[in-house]
Amino acid sequence: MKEKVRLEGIQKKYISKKGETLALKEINLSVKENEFICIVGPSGCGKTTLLSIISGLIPPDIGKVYINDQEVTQIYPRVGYMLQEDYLFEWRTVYENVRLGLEIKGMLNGETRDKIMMLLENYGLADFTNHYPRELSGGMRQRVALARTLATDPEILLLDEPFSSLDYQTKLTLEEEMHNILKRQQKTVIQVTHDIAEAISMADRIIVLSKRPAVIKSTFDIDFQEDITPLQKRNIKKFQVYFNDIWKELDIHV
Amino acid sequence: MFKTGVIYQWLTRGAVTADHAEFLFQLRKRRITIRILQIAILLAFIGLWELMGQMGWINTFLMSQPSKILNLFIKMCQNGQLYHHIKITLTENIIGFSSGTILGILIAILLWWSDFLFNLLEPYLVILNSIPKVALGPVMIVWLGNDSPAIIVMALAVSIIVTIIMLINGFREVESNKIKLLQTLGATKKQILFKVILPASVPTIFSALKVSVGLSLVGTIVGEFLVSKAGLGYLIVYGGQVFNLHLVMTSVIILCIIAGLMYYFVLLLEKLIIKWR
Ligand SMILES: Nc1ncnc2c1ncn2[C@@H]1O[C@H](COP(=O)(O)OP(=O)(O)O)[C@@H](O)[C@H]1O
Ligand SMILES: [Mg+2]
Repeated sequence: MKEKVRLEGIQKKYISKKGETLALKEINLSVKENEFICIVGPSGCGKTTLLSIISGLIPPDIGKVYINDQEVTQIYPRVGYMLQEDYLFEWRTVYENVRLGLEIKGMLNGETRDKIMMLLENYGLADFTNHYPRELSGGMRQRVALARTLATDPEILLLDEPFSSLDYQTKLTLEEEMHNILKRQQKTVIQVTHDIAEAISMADRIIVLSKRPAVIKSTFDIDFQEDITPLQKRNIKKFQVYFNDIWKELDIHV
Repeated sequence: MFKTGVIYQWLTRGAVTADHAEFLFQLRKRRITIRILQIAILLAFIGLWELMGQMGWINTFLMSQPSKILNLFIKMCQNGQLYHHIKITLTENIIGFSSGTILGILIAILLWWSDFLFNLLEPYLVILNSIPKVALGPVMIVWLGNDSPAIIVMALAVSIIVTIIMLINGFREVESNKIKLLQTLGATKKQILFKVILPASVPTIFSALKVSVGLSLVGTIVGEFLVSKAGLGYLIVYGGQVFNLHLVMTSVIILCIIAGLMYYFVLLLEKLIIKWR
C-alpha cells in the first residue's frame, strides 16, 4: 500500500532560560495509507511533541517529515489534529464549534453546512446543535471535538490521547464509535495514548516509545481477524498476550 | 400560613412539585424582602433628613433638605436649565468614554499583535495608570482651551488607560491551546484575533467597561469643575461658591442617578451579548 507519512531522523529539543530538554532523540517511521497507528509511551516522553511536528505546527531541529512524499514545512492542510483536550469555544454553539475549521479555511458553503449537520446527526448531537459547550457531558464534548476535526475532511488524523479525560464506560463507547466512523471513511490515523488496552483495540500497529529522550523502542503489528470491533477484541485471548508484551516494553516506573 | 393565598400562588409560579414550590417561595420571599428593605432604608433616610430640617435640628442652609431639593428640581426642570446642564455633561461624558474605550481597545489589539511593542511600553502604561489623570486637567485646559474639548479629553484620558491595561492582560491570558487549535487549522494571525482573542475577551471588555464608565464620569465632572462653564460639575462648583447647597445636592443626586443608569446600561448590554454563560 502507498506510503502516507514518513518521518526521517526527527530530533527535537526545547530550549528555555533554565536550559534544554531533549524530547525526541531520533524518530524514524513510515505510515501507510489507511493505516491506524497508535503511539504509546510513558508520560512526558515526547508524544505530543511528535504529533505537533507531524502536523507542521512546530519544526523539528533535525530530520524531515513527509506527507504524500512532500516535505512538511508548515501546517499541512489535509491533516486533522485533535489536541489532548477538546478546547471547545464556550462562546460558540455546538454547530458553530464544529464549523470552525471550515470557517478558517474559507470552505463554508451550502454543501459543507449540510455535511456538518450530517456529522452532528451521526454522532448523536443533532439535538444539541444550538447548545453551548457548558451544557454538554465529557463524552459529548469529545464527540464535538471529533466532528470539528472531521468537518474539514482531512486525509490524515492526528489524535492526542482523545479519550484520556473520559470515564471508562464512555471511553469504551467512544472507541467503538470512532472505530466505526474511521473504518467507513478510510483515513490514515496516528493516535497517541498511554493506555495500552486502548492501543491494542484500535490500532493496526503499535509504536512503543522509550522514556525521554524518545526513540522508538519496539513496534507491534496487531493482527485480529477482520471486522471485529474494539470491544470484541478485548475479549480475545490474543489481546492479553499483546498486552503483556507491550507492558514489558514500556518504561513505567510507579 | 397563607399557603393557598394569591400571593403564595404568585411567589411559587412555575413550580413543578410541592418541594419545588417551597424552594421557589423561600428564594423569592428572600429576594423581595431584601428589595423592600433597600427601599425602606432609602425612604427612612430621606424622611429623617426632612424631619430634622422641619424640626430645626439641622441647619438647612448648610445641610439642605429633601423638600427644598425637590422644589428646586421641579423649578429647574420647568425652566429647562436642568435639561441644558445634564445634556452637556452627558454629551461630554459619552463622547469621552466611548472614544476612550474604542481607542483603548485598538491600542490593546496593537500591543497584543506586537509582543515587542508590549514589552517596550509596559512600564509607561503602568506609570500612566498610577498617576491621577485629573491632575492633568490644567494642562488640558492650556492646550485645548477652556471649553468642552478639554473636558472630553479628561474623560477619555481616565478611561483609556484602564481599558488598555485590563484588555491587554485579558488578551494575553487567553488559553494558549485555543490559539494552538486555530493554528492547527491553518489560521492566520488576523483570524486568531477575530476568532479567539476578541470573542474570548468579551467578558474582560465588559469588566473594563464597568470600571471605566464610572471613572470617565469622574473625569468629566472634574473637568467641569475646572472649566466652569456648564454641566453638572459646573452647577456643583457654582452652588458651592454662592452657598446654594440645595443646588449642590440636587446636582449630586442627579449625578448619582446618571452614574447608576450608565452602569446598569453596561450590565444590560452584557446580558444581551454574552449568551453562553
Ligand atoms: N513548549 C515547551 N517548552 C519546554 N519544554 C517542553 C515544551 N513542551 C514540552 N516540553 C517538555 O518536553 C517533554 C515532552 O513533552 P510532551 O511531548 O508533551 O510529552 P507527552 O505528550 O509524551 O506527555 C516533556 O519533558 C515536557 O516537559
Ligand atoms: Mg501529551
